[in-house]
Amino acid sequence: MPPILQLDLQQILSQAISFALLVVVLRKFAWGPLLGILDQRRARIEADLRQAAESKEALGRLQHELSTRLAKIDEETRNKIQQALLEAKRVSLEMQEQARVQARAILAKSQETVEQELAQAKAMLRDQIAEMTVQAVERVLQQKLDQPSDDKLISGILDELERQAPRQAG
Amino acid sequence: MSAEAAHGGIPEIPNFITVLYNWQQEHPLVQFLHRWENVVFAAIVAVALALVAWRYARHPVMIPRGAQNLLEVLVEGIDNFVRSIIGPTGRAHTPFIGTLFLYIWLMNLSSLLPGMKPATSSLNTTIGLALAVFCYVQYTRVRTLGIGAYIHHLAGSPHFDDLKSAPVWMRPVLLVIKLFVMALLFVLELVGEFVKPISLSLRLAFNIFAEDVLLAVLLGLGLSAGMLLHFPLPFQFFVVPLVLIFSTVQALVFSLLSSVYIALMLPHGEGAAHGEHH
Repeated sequence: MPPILQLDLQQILSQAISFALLVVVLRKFAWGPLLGILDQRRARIEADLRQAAESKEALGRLQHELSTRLAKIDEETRNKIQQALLEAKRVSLEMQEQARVQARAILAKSQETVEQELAQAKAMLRDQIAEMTVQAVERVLQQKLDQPSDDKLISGILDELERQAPRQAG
Repeated sequence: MSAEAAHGGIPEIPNFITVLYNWQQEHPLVQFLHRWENVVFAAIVAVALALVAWRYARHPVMIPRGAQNLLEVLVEGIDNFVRSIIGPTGRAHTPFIGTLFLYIWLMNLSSLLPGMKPATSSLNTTIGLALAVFCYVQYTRVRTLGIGAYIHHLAGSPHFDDLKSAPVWMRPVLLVIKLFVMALLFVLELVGEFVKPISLSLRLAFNIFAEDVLLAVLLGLGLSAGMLLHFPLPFQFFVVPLVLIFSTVQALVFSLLSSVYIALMLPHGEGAAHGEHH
């Protein structure tokens, strides 16, 4: 009989038992640890990918929030600048008005002072003219004067008056 | 060829046990090795597998290095293969199917190693594997269904309601007949379940045996030509690629059909292939 057809129950059972033992050994030392590590790695990769996706989503949310906040800040800044410009314009107008009022007051006061000084100068001039007239009359009365001498005297008095008038005004 | 006479004229490549046997036939250890030749060669492969597992897979690390990479590729490939047949619950059966595949594959390939013999070229080995598959499948079925449902299913899922409609005096007779048929069906079903892996074992053993014989014939042819030419011709190398392919295919077929048997044993919806076969 060819060897392949020679059946032996003991050998059959031995082969079955040795295979069962091999399954037990490999399950303990190969399949268990390797499948376990593959599962762990798969779980870790999945967790990492999930975390990366969540981080990406969070980043997107933050970016959106940031851009919204920046837009809001821009708007607020623009409003504040606008308000500041309006305030500045208002203050400027107020200052202009105030300056105008003050200028008007100063002008009025200056005019009043000038008028007062002019009046004083006129009064002083009148007093001096009167005094000089008195002196001139006295001089005329003290000297015997002829007509040409009178004219000369009067014109001399008038010249002197003209010289003194600007000095009094200054 | 020296081994030819001892095996009824069928050529066989001498292995280290046949060499020892031809050298020291009377030694009891040699006689023992010769008697248990296939078991010894299967044990060598099993020990080699166990050692590799012990050395490289016992404490795997998260970032694989060296041999762990190769083992992980192998383990993941087998796991995907098993789960593609059985379904998500197939993970529980990966160690059994994976070990079966690796064991058969390496035994088949051992024919290419000098001094070795493929243990799968013997029916004793393959029927032993078939017995292991049968026991595992039945164990899986009992564990999944429960012992009562298992026996009920094997006995043809009988119903006793029709006995009520029969006359009272006929009921014991009908019951006895029914029980007899149930017992008969149980035995037939069990034999049918056992025949499935047995058919696989026949296919595997005869294929590997034929490969072994082919290698031996070509080796003998090369040696004969060498005697004439004073230079041996390695004719057997031409069939080495075929041996590699057939060894892998045979291991794959055995594992695939064993997975299908397991899938058929699982309750409806649990195994992916279950629905297709009912």
